[in-house]
Amino acid sequence: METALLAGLILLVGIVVLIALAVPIAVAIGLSSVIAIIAVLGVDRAVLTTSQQMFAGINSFTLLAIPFFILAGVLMNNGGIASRLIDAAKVLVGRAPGSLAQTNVVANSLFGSVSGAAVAAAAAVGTVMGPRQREEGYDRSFSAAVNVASAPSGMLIPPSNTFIVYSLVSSTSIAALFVAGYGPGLVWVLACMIVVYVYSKRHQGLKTTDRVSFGVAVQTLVKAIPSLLMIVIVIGGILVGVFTPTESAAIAVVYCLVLGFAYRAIKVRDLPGILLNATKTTAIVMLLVGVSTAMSWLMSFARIPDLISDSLLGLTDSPTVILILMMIILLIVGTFMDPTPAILIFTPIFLPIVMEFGIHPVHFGTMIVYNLCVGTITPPVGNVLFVGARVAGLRIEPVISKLIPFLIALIIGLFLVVFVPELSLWLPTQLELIAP
Amino acid sequence: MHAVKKASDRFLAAACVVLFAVLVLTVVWQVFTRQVLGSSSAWTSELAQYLFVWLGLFGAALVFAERGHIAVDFLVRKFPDGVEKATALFVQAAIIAFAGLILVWGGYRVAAQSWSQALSGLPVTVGPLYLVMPITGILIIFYAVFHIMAVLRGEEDAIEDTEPDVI
Repeated sequence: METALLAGLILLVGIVVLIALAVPIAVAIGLSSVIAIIAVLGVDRAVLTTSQQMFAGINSFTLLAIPFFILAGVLMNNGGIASRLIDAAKVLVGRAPGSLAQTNVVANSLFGSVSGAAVAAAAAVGTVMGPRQREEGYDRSFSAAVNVASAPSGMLIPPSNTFIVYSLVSSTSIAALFVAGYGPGLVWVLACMIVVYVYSKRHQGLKTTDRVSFGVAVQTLVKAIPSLLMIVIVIGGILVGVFTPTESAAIAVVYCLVLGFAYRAIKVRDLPGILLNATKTTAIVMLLVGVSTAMSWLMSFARIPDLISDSLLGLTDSPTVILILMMIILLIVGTFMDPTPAILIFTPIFLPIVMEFGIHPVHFGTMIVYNLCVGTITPPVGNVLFVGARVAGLRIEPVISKLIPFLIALIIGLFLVVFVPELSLWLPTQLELIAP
Repeated sequence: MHAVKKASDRFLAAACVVLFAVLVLTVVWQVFTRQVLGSSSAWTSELAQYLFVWLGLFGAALVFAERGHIAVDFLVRKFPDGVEKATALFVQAAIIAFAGLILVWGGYRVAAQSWSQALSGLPVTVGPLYLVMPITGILIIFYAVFHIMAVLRGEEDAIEDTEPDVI
């Protein structure tokens, strides 16, 4: 057992030090794992095992859904749907106080859920909505903060690649996770809308947009239907059981392609560039998944989850305290790390512990994804924050101060997601995707 | 060296585009045969999986060429210039160790071990399919050496400013 402990120590210290020194996260995980495995198995068998595990980790039909959803997202981003979804969002929001800011929130959640990409949403929607809000007298840093705060909601609203990654490491059903994401996704959107509402009540100077006639409203919504129909096809197909998630993702690609051609937003000569763009995001995720498979192998070999669970349970036996502790750790980690690598590293450690308390793995999935999404917009780092500030033409500091109320609301939302399991589990239970 | 990098970049980019396109067609074909013709063929999912591994690893090499893999550079940005540069060299050395041990050495061992093991759905053996690991490993090492020299010559910054999408 001594060597197992040593291996665990090498893994832990290696990952922390290498990541802190800006070594790519995938390399940090892979290199630390292989060195730790060498301590156990000797060099020759260690490189063989690591390599086998890594290959096996990527060689999965389920995982194939990820490149297809990424490709569908890139096609959507190029396919001229942002403006259609923004117009639809404006109609949906109507003349509520701060309606343009509310439109930004809704547009981000619509765009994010079809494209799944938070930075792309912040860039596409912020570019259009920023200037419109400025014209109507909104504070520039406030509108940038609205855009940043609402951009990650698409990672919770299905289809979502983060949930596919979680389903791999937790052996839970993708369909159940997708459906479970709607509740917490709605919590996220509502948290942003409430902050906007309160702010707009206090700043009465903000004009509300002109009344749109009923005919125009219907027309606008009809124009957005083809873009939103993709979600219906994908989620509906998976729920009814017609498609596997991978197949539905492939259908999404074909659908987005047809839509892009129909809107004349995509030409055949754009395709290699689009494929290459999607390849790069895919490859970054794949390499992480591959090395994490090797790491998980070592972790269960060295019984690291047991070790951590024993020491955590020695500290306290209150599930509530342990959950809060985990959430705090994840909030800090999420500030520095993207959701996918954080899920790959922390799920194998945390999930066995919380399952002992009777927490459903699907519920833990929604809380970990929600939590890490908060990290993507938390200062001082976070690409959504950087891009959101940049498209608004601002430095990040003024945006951060306006972002604070949103962060408070989102963290209250996190509490709800963590301690009200029905928010995540009610819908999948009703649809009989998980046992009650 | 620049010419070699350019050629290798172009080869990888072209390979990825072709692999991705064939991958989409394969799975679409699978859906079509299963939904419309009512019979799914075993070879499609097997082919798709291996295409995907090749695509993923070739793509990973391409991202190493651009120094685009996600890293946490928050701390390093606070270092003085000289230390920052030393860290950049260390990062590339770590990449070389990673690619050398797991992809080249480990990948070669796996390929050799399963060289003539048959696959159920495809008329090839498994071993050659594993060769993608040593091939990309060698390319990744080449790119790391390239970046080390570029940083030393001052042609590249110690930390790249990239804004990839959150994954």
